[in-house]
Parts: sequence; C-alpha cells; structure tokens
Amino acid sequence: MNYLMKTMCLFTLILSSGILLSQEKHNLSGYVRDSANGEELIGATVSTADFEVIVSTNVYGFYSISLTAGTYEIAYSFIGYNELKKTITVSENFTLDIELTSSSVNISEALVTGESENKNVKDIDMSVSEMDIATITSIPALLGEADVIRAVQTMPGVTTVGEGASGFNVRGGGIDENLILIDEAPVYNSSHLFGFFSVFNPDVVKNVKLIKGGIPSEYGGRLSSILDVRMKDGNKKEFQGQGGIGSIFSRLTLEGPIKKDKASFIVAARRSYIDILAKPFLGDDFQDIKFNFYDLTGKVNWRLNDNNNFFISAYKGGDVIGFDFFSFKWGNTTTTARWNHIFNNKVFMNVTGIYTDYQYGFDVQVDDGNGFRLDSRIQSVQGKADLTFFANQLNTIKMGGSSNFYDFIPAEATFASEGESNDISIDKKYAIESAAYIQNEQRVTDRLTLQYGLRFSLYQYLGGRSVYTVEEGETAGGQSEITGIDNSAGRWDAVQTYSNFEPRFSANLSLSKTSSLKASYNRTAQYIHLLSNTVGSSPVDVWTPATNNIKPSMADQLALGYFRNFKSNEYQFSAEAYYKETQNVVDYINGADILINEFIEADLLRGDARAFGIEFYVKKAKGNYTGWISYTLSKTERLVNGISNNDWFPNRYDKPHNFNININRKISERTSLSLSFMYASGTPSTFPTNRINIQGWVIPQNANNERNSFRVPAYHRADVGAIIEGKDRPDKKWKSQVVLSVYNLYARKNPYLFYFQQNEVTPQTTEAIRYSVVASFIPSLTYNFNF
Amino acid sequence: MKSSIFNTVSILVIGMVVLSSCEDVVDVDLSDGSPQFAVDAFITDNKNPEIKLSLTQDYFDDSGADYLEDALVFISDGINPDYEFTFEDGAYRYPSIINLEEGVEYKLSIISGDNTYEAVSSVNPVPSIDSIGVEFQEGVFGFEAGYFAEFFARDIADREDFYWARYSRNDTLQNNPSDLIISQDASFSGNGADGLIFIPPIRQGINDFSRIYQSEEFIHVELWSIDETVFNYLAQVVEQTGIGGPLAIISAPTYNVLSNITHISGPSELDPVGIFSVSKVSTIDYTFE
Repeated sequence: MNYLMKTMCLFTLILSSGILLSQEKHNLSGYVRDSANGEELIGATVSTADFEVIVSTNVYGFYSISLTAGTYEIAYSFIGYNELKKTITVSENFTLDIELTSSSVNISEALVTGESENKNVKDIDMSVSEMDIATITSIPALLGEADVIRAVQTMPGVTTVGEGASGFNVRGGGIDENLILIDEAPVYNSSHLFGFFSVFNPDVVKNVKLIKGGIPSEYGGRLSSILDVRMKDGNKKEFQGQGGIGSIFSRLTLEGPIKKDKASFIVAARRSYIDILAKPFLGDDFQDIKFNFYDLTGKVNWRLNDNNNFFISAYKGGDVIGFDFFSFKWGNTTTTARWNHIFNNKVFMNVTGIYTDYQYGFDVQVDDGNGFRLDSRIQSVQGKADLTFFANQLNTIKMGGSSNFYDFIPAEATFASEGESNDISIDKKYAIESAAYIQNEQRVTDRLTLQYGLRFSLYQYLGGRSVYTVEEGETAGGQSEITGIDNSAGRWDAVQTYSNFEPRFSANLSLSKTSSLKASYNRTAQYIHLLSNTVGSSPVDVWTPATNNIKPSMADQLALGYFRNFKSNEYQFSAEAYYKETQNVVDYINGADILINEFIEADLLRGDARAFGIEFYVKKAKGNYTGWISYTLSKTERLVNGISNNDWFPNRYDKPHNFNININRKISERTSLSLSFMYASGTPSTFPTNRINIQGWVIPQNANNERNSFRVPAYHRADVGAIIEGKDRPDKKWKSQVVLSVYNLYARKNPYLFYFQQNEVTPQTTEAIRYSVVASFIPSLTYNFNF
Repeated sequence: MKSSIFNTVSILVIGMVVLSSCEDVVDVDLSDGSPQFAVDAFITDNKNPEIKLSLTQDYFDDSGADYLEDALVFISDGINPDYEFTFEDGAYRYPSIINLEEGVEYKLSIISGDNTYEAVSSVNPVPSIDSIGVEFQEGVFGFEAGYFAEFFARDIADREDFYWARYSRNDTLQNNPSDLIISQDASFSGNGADGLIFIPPIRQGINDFSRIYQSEEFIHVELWSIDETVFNYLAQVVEQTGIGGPLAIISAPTYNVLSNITHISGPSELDPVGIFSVSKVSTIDYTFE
C-alpha cells in the first residue's frame, strides 16, 4: 500500500505542475457526433488550421483542446465524414459539441482534406490496429458473416492456430493473454461453435481497436494485447432498424430515440438457424436435436445534461447443443453501467461498474437414476474510475483505479448411478485484482511526444476453501506433490498477495509531416490463466486464478516502429519490430487433467517464453481500390523445465511467416468486390519417431523427446466477395444489399493437424492422417437490410 | 483425463457442423529415433502370467515386434521365493498362476545384456461383477436392432480405486485402443464417484454401437484392479491412440506416454518404456438368448 501512496503523491505533483502551466490558456471541449444518428465518434481529429494543436476524441467521443486567447479556425475530421471547420474566438473556456456528416451522404464531395488523416503518423499510439465496422464488413467472410476476430486476424502480428480454433494470438502470446472487452466488460470466451465465429454481432459494433504494444497504463490484466470493442449507443435522432438473413445467422437490430437527442436505445439479436432449417430433413429420431448459437445485445443511454451521460449495456450470448437426454451449453453474460461526467472543460471522468461471467454446463440424464451434471463458471464484478485531465496544450493526464472481484467455480457436479448420487463439486476460488494508474501524454517539442505512465497492480488470492501447497516432484516435467492442505483461511483472508509495478512508455518522434519514428516499452502482469492442454481451445477450458502455487505471469515488451504516409496519405505504411519476454507461462504435464480436478495445480508446470518479430503494413485508404497488406516475420518459443530436453521449443502458435492481403474495388455506385488472400507457415507439432508395441496396441513415441519439432504444411487461402447495394429509392426508407462470398476459393485442404493411428482393418499398420477443418470452398449468400 | 461424455457430445456437435472437415492418409517423413527397451507386463490372478520384451521400432514399421529372448526376468513380492520367468514362444512365461496378495507391492526385475531394469506395482482389491443387464433396442439412427448390454458392479467404498474393464465377444478379445474402458472409482476420473455402481458410460462400454449384439452371441467381461500409475498410463494410451475424427481440433497434442519401468544400471542411455501391472480380476459370462 506504501507504493500506492507514492503513486498518488506523484500524481498530485504532476497535477499541480499541470495547473501551474495552464494559467493563461482556455479549453475548448465537447463531443463529436455523427449527424445522422447522434453516435459519438471515437478517435475523430480536432485541430487548429496550422496543426499547432491537434487532439483526438476519446473512446466516449469527447475532446478537449487547450488554446491561448485568440481567434482560430478549428477543423473537425474523421475518416468517412466530411470535414467541418469552425471559426472560434477563444476568450474563456468554451464548450462546443459538433456533428459531422457522413461523406457517403454526398459522394461527389467525398474527398476529405488530406492532412488530418495522418493520424497514424501523428498519434502516440503504435502497435495499434483500429477498424471500423465498414472495414470489417468489406472483408469476404466465412458464410457471409462479418466477424470481428477474423478481421483482427488479418492484421500484422496476429495469428491463429487454425480454422475453428478459438481466439487469436498476438505477438507470440497465448489466446488467454488478450483482454477482450465489449463495452469495457471482459469477455472470457469470445467464440461461438469453438472458433468459427466470434461473439460480436457486426450490426452493433461501432469501433474495434487492437493494442499489441505500447499498451497505455489504463489497461492491464493481460500480457499481450487489448481488443477493445465498442458497441453503438443507439440512434438519438430517429427510429431505425437493420438486419440480415444469412447462410448461418439471421440478425435484427432496432434502435431509436427514447427522447430525441437526449436518450436512445439499441437492441439486437442474432441467432443461428441450422437446427430449424435442418428439421424437416431429419428423421423422427433426430427431432429433439437442439443446436444453435445466439447473441443478444441491448444498450440504453441518457444524456442528462451537457455534463452527465449515462449508459447501460448488456450482452448475453451462447451456444446450445442438445439431444433428448443431454444438453451442452456455454456462453457469456456481460453488463456495463457507465457514467461520463465532465467536471469542467479540462476534466473528464468515467465511472464504470461491470459484471461479467462465462459459464458452461453439461447435463446428461440417461434415465431417472442415471446421469451427470456439470456447471463451471468464472464471474467477476468490477468497479473502476478514470479521470482525464486536459492540463494544457502540452500535457494530458490520465489516472484511475479499479477493483475486480473474481469467483471461480471450477465445477459444480454430480454423478448419479442407479438412483444414488454423489456430489463431486470443487469448491469456489476467490480473488481480487486491483490496480491504480497514472499517465501523462506530453508534447515535449513540436516533434517529440511522450506518453509515460505507471500502473500498479495488486492481486490477492483469497481463502474460504482449502488451500493446498504443491512442490515439484522428483521428475522434472512430472506431476507435483501435494505437501500440505490448510483450511484456516477465511473467505476474505488473503492466502497469497502479489503486486507489480508496470511501467508503460511510448514516444513519437516526428521526422516530417508524413513520417515518424515511434518506440514503446511496456510491462504487463496477468493474474488469471486459461487452462487448455488440447491442440485447439475448447469451451470447457477453465480459467484459474494465480494462487500460492501458480505465480502470475509477467511480460516485458519493447517495440520500435517507422510510420510513413505517401501520396497525401493515400498510402499508409508502417514497419515495427518487437521483442517480448514472458515469465511464468503455464504449461502442463503430459496427460494433465483439467476437468474437475481439485488438485489441478499439481498438473501444471511453469516456464518462460520469448517472442520477437518484425511487422510490415501498408494500407491504401482512398480511391477506387482500397485495402491493406500485412506481413509478419516472427518467432515465439518457450522453455519449461523437464519438457523437450530442457531446451527452448516453439510455441504451438509459432508461425514464422504470416502474409495477408485484402483488396476492395468499387466498380460502380452500387457494387463493390473484395478479395483476400492469406499465407501462413504451418503450426509446429509433435510427431512420433517410433512405435511401442504393448498388448497389441501401437503407441506413438518420440524417442528424441522433442516437443513441436515438426511443422504441418503452410496454410493459404483465398476468399472473394461482392456487395451489391439495392436501388436507392429516395421515397423509401428501406435499403438493402446482397452479399455474396466464396470462402476458400480454390478448395485447399489446409491441414489443421496431423495425427497418427493404427489402421482399423490391419491394426499393425500405422498411418499419418492430415486433418483439415475446411476442405472445400464454401459459397454463401446474405441479404442485409435497413429501414 | 478427458471425460468421454464430453467427447461423445463433441462428436455430435462437430458432426452437425455444416463445414466440411476432411481426413486424408498422407505420407510424412518422420525423424529417426533410437530404439528403446519396451516392457509389456500385465500380470493377473486368473491366468498364467506372460511378459513381453521388445525394442521400439520406426513408427511406420509394421513388420511386427521383435521380441527379445535373452533376458533374465523375475518377479518378487518380498515374502515368497522369486517367480522366475522363462522365454518360450515370444514371451517370458511363468508356469502357474501367481496368487496375488492384496496390498502387496510386487517388483519386476529384468536383466537384459548389461542393463538392469525394475518396476513396481501394487495389488488392489476388485469388486465382483453382479450381473449383466440386457435391453433389446429397436434400430435407431440407422443401426440394426439387437441387444444392448451393461455390466453392473459397485466400486469399493471409502478408498480410491482404479479399474480396467476388458471384454471378449464370442471368445475374441476386444482390444482396439478404442475398446479401453478404465475408471477411477465408479467414474472416469474423479474424486467423488466413490462407492457407486459404475456409471452408465463405463458399464455400457462393452457395446459396439455399429455391431449390436444378436441372439446366441456370448460375452466374457473382466474387471481388473489396477494401481494409479497404471490407470494414468492407460488413460494416456487412450489419449494418444484415440486422436482423430471430428474431435481432432480439441485432442491432446502428441506426447510420450508415461512408463513405470526404471533403468537401474548398465550402459543404456535411453529411458525404457512400457508398463508393469498387477491385477486382481473378477469375471462374468453371458449369452444373449
């Protein structure tokens, strides 16, 4: 706690210096919104005519700009919107809310002036990929369903182990090292149907931002990245609906004002309907089949006055699979309540309360007396407050704190056999993760901007259950021994406390108006881990807290980047190199039992990881052709005592080469075509060298004891898509579009993995099997509408 | 170890997915690995024991195991004189049943060339199999009609037990890796199914759904007590031989299964592989009418 005091003192010091510096300035502040629906715009640019002062709106669409008294021409701009210029005489603090009109409204004047679009060069952010929903929908999608996580996977530095795998890997980190936020609430499992689709309904997504490095101090809790997904707030001007009928999902979204310009709502639903479509074709035996996945999103917001905004947003989604005697369900629930308060033109506050859970359940009832039931869950309640202090032209200070209360429910389970039942539940585990941070973004000179901050995280693993200690066994890489069990710690007693200082630093050195050098360093700590010892992630993977036995992981990342725009920002180029070291990654003993295992910690191993790489990215932002190309050359590996001869071995998600290209071509007012192609090295895998003959079985054996020393062949795939807009009838509000796509155009059988087995007919013959999740091309047709 | 209930469900799930998965037999160049000393020693109290010693072969070598002949093999229980095995017809054999004592730890010793190997395994009690339950099933899901069987036995209460159920159909041992039925107490793995009647997926493990029992067929079911190490070994064998099918994307990665054989002395630098197990066995026979 002493640390916390020091942090607070530091903050006070900076705060007071900021106030001193700002004596002669006045602040112009307000919200930037879309004129059509009143949605706040995230990351819009606000600048003076000479670009002497330039700021962006924050994630709530709020900006504050500090100016000396005088008359200015202030430009408001945002990609896809017409720039708006206002002449303002500043003599005191001033509030000005702005509404921008979408440039598609008036296509002939769509060319937005160039200079403000060099945000990628000017911003302090590096290692960041930002996508609006229009970009995400422009990528040809599997079964025509635009998908946030699949879009993110086309960005440099992002990989996946294969089709149907959950999540994504950022700069050599595991899938649990990404903090996935939906309106600030963490999502513990972002996938439907294992990993084919993600939980984000594209109709309600407003903005997606992936932060891979230079992670600002306000974010924490995961090592590798932040995927910040913001949902639309709902149209404040008029009632509106949109939806779609696709090959796999159908969608419907309704939004509108509750009170014009003051309060609005949005509700959206999306559901797969394979089960409904299939029913007529299934025999009587299959009529009980349940098989669907769905997402429900709702949000209301209320602008009480210029200084107070309230939001409540909720998400519930899940997958249901069942049959007459069993059901298997999993899904997330999140709720976010948020209050944005403007103290004055300089101080913006956000207070948020969050509830989130992920659960899966499993119910088999063979008959009255025989069955099995399992429920497993992670739930967390979080409170946080963030304050932004627009101190002066040169300094923007952010500070805040949060506390997150976790309940882990590893298993609530009963077995029943012939009428007798046994409860095999595992006691809950409790933990609290808290953090406080302070950060300043400082324009040191015209050419140098720094962002430096410190995050202090404090984690407590609590009692209220039996606490056991494990010690490494005699064999390295083998099961640990349980050396003690203690029941004395109460529900709110800290069994184990961990704390970490996490310094964060970014710098932007402007080389010219169109080029800059950026550098960043960040340390991140992670206190909860997703346990998964299968080749791909599955819905039954369990989150588990750091305990007295499992240490938190910690990563240090250094990144360096060169950003350059060409041809009036038509082409945006970046090259970044990174190096990352991680301590205390979780690994598993062979055959680790992660399902219903009270002593799971005895099956875990601890190791170190390192990753490095170089990423290239070119984006063409304007013109008839738009799109991007990304290429990443990287390596990620780990070292675990007792595994692979105590040598570094490649991570399961190590893919040295990763190339993506996405091209969009507008061929007429109504039609656009898209093409994407990706190439990635095959994933590493362990193959046997020898066979052991026991009891007539042939058991694979790697005599060299090497892990992941083979690689499956490379993955490559092309997808094409076309979007055809319906005829625009000015007298009708109804607008429609048809989306055609072909996934895996040339029907490549991309291997997900190779496995080895005995031939069924001649068991002494062994064979290698290539398993491809998608083995043909998949066409689809989607009809979207809005009214 | 993976719960097979989850696996069963997953098969159905992914099976229903519209996406077209595909499995092809392909040629793969594997690295060379040196042969390791392998022990196959499952000793029961209902059969004259045999032990097979071999060297591991290249993974794709299907010429059949080359059994080693010139070793000295014996089992000791610390009380009785050592049980000395002699090589005959591909295996080391002992001429009579070894009367395995509950709670006793048996030690297997092997001297092969200049190398000495040892392993230990404990004898646990086994419950009797009370009965075979039979139900006639109409053909559903396209399967033919026939008999569905389950064996009823109750796990011994108040202790952690491990079992292996094996069965023969018309005198043929059902011995594919997919036929391995193992349980911890009355369930797959788990602290808590203690003292129950074996749960359905275990007691129904003696059926082949694609080939349901018909009249006049007969089965012989054996329940073996095993120790924890052998249970873990078999669970790993299931994991390592049962990859594939629609479950492949959530299967365990390839790893080397454990072994309880220890290299005690001698020049060999490679670890031995294989398993030594001692089991009490209870049996039941049934003929479908």
